[in-house]
Amino acid sequence: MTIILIYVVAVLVSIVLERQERRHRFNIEMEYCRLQLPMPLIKPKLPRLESWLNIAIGALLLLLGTLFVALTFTVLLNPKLKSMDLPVQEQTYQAAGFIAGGLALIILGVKSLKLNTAYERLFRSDQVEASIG
Amino acid sequence: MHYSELIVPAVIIVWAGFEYHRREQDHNERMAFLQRGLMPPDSSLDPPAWRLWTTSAIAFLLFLLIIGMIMLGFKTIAPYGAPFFFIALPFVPIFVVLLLILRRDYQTAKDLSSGNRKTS
Repeated sequence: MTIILIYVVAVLVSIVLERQERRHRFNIEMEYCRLQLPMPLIKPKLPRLESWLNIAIGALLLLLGTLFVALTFTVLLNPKLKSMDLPVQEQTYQAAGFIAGGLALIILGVKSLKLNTAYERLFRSDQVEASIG
Repeated sequence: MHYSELIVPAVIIVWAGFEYHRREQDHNERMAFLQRGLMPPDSSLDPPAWRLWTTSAIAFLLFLLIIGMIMLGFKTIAPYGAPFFFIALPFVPIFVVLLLILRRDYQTAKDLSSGNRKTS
């Protein structure tokens, strides 16, 4: 139940922040149009090093989740350890939380790295055009 | 449902409130510059001092954790020492990236204080 609540809150928060950002971008674009200036390139929110940090933390969480699952199954499948009476449902939820969080961080990091590469390429070509022009 | 289960969602909502307000303030500043026909400064180039301190504190804690695990790995009797190295391993890339971030932020702060600010 807690995990579902956290998920719903996180989704709602991201929708609100995304809408706010879209509104801000629109206002700024209108202002640049009014000033008859070219709109500058939009910088990715996460810089390159922070994207790598996301990937590293995501990998750590993924590893922890996988270890959690492995540990649970090792105990469950070993008849000698049956007396431990594991709270399987809780452990599965926790492992799922770690794995989902890790995967989400890795995906965000990789996407952000791609955006950074595209931004740097565009920025460099802009600079070359400016130096030629 | 126990009230302690609401702590994490409440923290997310409070953080979102602060973040919403901060972004709104940033946007108002940018709009004020643009409405006067001036280019807004690039605020992403200014690392705040608290970020330098928190990054160094986290990097130091990670360093202690990695060194502690390696020491434990060496001190524990042979077959049982290996898991400690295994625990330390995934923290090493995080530590390295934190050091790189720290170096970048320190360089930016130094450039800002000496007055030669980069344009990007």
